[in-house]
Amino acid sequence: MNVTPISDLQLALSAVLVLVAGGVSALLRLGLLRSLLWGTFRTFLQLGLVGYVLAHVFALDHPALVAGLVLVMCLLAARASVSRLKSVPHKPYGLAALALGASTFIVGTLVCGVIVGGEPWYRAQLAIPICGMLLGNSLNGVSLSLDRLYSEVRARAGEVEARLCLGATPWEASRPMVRAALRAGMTPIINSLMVVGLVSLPGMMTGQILGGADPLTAVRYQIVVMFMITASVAIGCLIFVGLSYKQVFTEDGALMPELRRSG
Amino acid sequence: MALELGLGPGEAVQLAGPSGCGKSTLLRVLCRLEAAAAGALCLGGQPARQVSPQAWRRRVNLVPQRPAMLDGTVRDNLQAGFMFRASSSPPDDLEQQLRDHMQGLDLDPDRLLEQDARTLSGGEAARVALVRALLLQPEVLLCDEPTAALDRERAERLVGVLGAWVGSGGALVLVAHDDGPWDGLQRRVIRLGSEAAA
Repeated sequence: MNVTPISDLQLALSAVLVLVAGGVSALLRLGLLRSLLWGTFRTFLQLGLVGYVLAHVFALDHPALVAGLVLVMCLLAARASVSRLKSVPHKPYGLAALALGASTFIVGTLVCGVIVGGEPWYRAQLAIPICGMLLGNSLNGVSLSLDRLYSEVRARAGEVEARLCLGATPWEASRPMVRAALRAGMTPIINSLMVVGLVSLPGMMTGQILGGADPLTAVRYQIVVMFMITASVAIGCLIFVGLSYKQVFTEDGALMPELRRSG
Repeated sequence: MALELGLGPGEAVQLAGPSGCGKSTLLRVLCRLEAAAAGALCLGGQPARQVSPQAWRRRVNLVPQRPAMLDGTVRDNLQAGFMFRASSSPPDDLEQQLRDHMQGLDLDPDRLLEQDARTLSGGEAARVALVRALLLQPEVLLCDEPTAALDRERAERLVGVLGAWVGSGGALVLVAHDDGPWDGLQRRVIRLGSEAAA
């Protein structure tokens, strides 16, 4: 592939683009300048480090190293998916890790082992980018779905308790809210499926084309990527919401005190 | 504040007291929507821990002051108690029963049954919720200010319905202020103090 290299100077020049956003923030006093600078610094640092780590991991190409790296990515994704949710009182990090790990394992194995294949199917250059894309998209899905679950239950606490009073189990009482949560988690990827190629050229396909790959091959990869992300988001949201709804209730099957409406 | 409350079939108790003294909380504790800080609940001699919360709440049914209506029509709401896994099968004459209960509470079944339940007024929703509870035939009915959203005439009809239900062997725990239309209902009155009851 014929990749045009980016020099250090060109890389530094790209940071000027962030200064435009910083200028807007300062002009309108949005209070985002600090976050923008910190975000820019972190982008350089994180991607720079990842570049070096990946170069070593790809060179060694040991399955245990691949599995360890995917596990770390999974734990970081789990933390990111729930840590900023103000609507969720007790952050379910463990459940998030379980849901993201399971969905990534199921879909990642299927894609690497069966759909894309190659020898060996778990090689670092294939498994790590695939798992990274799965986790990056699934974490948004599970985050949105959990946020919606709690906000729906809080807003419709009276309805949940009315069902409980009629003899419903916690699952029966919260089923409409679980459905709304799953819809919220799935909506972004469904929107992406609708407009991919028409409104947006996804990052992976763009990267391959910029890297000199045949556009038709890039498209084929992108189709696989879109479908695997859809499956992973669906499985991740299903596992996460399916396990998290229980945390909305006490051991006695009543709504948690902090989620009841006042009055 | 310590409270010991025993209630048998065909008995009614009114909980009275100043706002914030814990009357509504006590009702929620009795139907296990909240846990009491201390104490024990028994039903028919059985401790609460031996009865599943689902079965308990069907036998000790709460009608809150501002009851929530579920998605769907009034009919869907009235039949909702028979849709869950722990539900008993609906009686053969369910349609007749729900119409009788509605008419007893001055609700017109022909006008309301197919209406979206979320469009009901506060007074209509309060009475539909009471019908929904009565259809389950609970052993104990817990009513939190059931006449709060009703005019005097409809409130008196509701008191009459509750009186008939107690007369047929039901047990009733009622949260109500003293100035309500409760003269027609034979009941014990328990006054809670300003301390929280539960």
